[in-house]
Amino acid sequence: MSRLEQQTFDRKITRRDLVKLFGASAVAATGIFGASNKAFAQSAAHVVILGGGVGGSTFAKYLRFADPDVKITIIEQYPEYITCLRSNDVLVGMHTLDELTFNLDTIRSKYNVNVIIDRVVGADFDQKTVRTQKGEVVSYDKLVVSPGIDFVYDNIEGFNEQVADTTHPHAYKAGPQTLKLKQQLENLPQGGTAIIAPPQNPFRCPPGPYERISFFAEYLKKHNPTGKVIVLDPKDRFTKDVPFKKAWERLYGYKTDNSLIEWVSGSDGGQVTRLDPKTNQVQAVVEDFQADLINIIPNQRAGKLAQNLDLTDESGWCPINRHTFESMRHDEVYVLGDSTIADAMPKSGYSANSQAKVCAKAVADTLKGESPGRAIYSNVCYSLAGQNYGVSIAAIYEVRDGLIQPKGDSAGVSEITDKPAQPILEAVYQKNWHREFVKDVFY
Amino acid sequence: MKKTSIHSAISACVLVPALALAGGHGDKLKAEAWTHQSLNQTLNEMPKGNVERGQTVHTQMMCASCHGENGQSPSRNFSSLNGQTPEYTMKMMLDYRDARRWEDYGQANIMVKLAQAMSDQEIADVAAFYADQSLSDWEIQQNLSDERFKMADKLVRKGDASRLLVPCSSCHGVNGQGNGITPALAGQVPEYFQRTMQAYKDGERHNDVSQGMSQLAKPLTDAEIEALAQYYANLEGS
Amino acid sequence: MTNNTLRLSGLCLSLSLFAGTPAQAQDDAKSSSITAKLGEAMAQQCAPCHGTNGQAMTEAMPPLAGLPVETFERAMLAYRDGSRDAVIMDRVARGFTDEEIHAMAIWFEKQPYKAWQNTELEEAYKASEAAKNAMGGQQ
Repeated sequence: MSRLEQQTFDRKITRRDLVKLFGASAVAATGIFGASNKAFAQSAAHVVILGGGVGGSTFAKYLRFADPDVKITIIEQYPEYITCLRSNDVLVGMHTLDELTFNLDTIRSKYNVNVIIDRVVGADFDQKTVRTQKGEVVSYDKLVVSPGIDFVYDNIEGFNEQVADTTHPHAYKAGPQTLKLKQQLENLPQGGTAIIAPPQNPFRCPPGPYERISFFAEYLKKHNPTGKVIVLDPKDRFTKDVPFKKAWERLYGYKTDNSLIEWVSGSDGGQVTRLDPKTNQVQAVVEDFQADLINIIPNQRAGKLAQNLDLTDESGWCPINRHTFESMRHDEVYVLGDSTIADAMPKSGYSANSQAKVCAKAVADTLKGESPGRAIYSNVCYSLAGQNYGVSIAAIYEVRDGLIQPKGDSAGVSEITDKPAQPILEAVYQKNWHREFVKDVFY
Repeated sequence: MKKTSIHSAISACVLVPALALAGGHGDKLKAEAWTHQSLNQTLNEMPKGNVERGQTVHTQMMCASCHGENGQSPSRNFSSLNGQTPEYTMKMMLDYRDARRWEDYGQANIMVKLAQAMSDQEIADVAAFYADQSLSDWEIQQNLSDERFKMADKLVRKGDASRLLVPCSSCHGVNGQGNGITPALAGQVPEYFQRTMQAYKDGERHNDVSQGMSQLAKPLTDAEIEALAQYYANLEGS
Repeated sequence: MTNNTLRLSGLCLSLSLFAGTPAQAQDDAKSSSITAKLGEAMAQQCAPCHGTNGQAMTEAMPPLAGLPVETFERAMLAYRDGSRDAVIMDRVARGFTDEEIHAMAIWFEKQPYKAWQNTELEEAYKASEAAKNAMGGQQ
């Protein structure tokens, strides 16, 4: 971070800010940073957010924009949050986990949000309360749940959470598994084979596995040029596959005899059915493979909290009102981000941020007795096909015919052009985007 | 011109992994500071630029996406390039390419990457293209108070001997039209101008020959820099 | 050549300047179906790249805060019709109608031109109010 930014970044909310917002007596009663319930008028509604990741944090900030008076509480299990976003960078040393770690300090102080670090163990939708592990009972007027995703292992024999935590990290939630996979890549023997098995749709960060494949190939090109990445994919298409494959051709010899990447599609038998963690063998529909490194990214469903709170349907995901992200299963409860069924919107951090803003306005309107305005969402996913080679997909969304669909003629992936600057610019845009995005979420 | 080969451009940028670290500013290439002699020699050895080919480079390298259709910046964070002296544009591109310009405030990364994907010929051509576009004042007119105008005008025309400040015009021209490696300033984006002067003043930018501009920027007050930025933004260069 | 007054960073916006006379307000609100609230909601979707309230200055993405209405509109229309070279903004711009672009433009013009980290919440509320007034005071 530059000096200029640093000077300004850590500014805390001032007493003056709070006096303006809540009146002098309320501040006097609580101290400045307490942000306890007393700081709010007794009559103010209480919005409780479960989960302080991208969706929850953005929601809290933008609800404060929409309503200076509402009482906001975030209940988050962990004091620090590592973004899954850009965690592929960690595998090849472009970022450290520390650089992807955030907390809710600024959200708490600048936006006067009460933060409780505790695990939610239950909710009573009739009484409108949630219960935490430490025994706190928190009552709400509106509940917002942003629980992320959960992994499903049962379609691959021999693969489970314990195997992922020990010998075969999926590294699809940033943390210790990310570092383990990084080490496995670095330890790959010369001329060795790495297998990456992407999941079936729908899953978090649709370009994530393909960016990872690209990074593996770029790493091999530099450090292990006789090595190889074999992709065992249950699908025939993937997001941005046209620009990704063009990049692989340009950078990694894809479609030649010396390609660093071999991609086996679902139709060609790419679906993995069994893993033998001891012998490092995988069975795919087409044949068995022996490898030095096996990275299986499991199928996914809505986060455990959403399942436990009965917010999911038979699909394993959370049905929501497309205009407001209110749960279709329980009143006064809203669900955000990866765990929702949002039709054409991908499960991305950008989508969660976008949904959180629309939802925050809808909640604020509803609390004021007004009807929510029109919902317009957006998503941009930048991925790197190499450190200096970006590809993107972007769209603006609206609700049409009961579904969230691209608005106007906006949806599209990076065009393949002969302009050498284009992928370079996209890579720089990606880095700029990431820098601003986390600020929009956590600052 | 021959179409830029995307393969050569891409492999060029893949071959410089040291520059590609995410932070961008961790591992800088070490390039020797210019002396008047080494800079003159380098610029003399550059190929001759061609305006028409330069326009193709401008398109192929997507310069317009930040610097505007003819080099006049459409935004407050990018510099205007129209009417710039070819020597200055070439020097900037070489400075980016060799990492002489890699300021610490996170603005140079993009140009470093692009410059590294360009040949000397392409740099000379695009410099010729921008030199061929006429200077124009900045599109958002600056309302300069009389007092501020006088402050800037004095620095531009007379300088301030008490602080060893030579007049700006002695190098940059009375109309801010520039001369050789001294850049044109007329019509420059004021926010860019201020940021640049601040960087010289703070020692974050150091690609000037013999620290000429850095020394002149240090005694200037913030108010003077702001006044100069607005003053030059309003000039048309003729 | 436009004839806009410069609004420099650091100078707090003179809000009275933007509150607008009723006549101006009428003029600005081109379409009654596009409300100030929607303008704000759409503009907030730009924040992941352009910063909270359009107040980020990055090497690749320009700040939108304090941008004159016509400058923003001209840029978006040029992106939309493909006459301005773009990496991604052509796709984004094709998602918006003229009226929607106008509503976003009004909202961005009212935002203080400085980093969000240096901006008080109170200033953000005032900017939002000013945008609402410029759209005819409707919600």
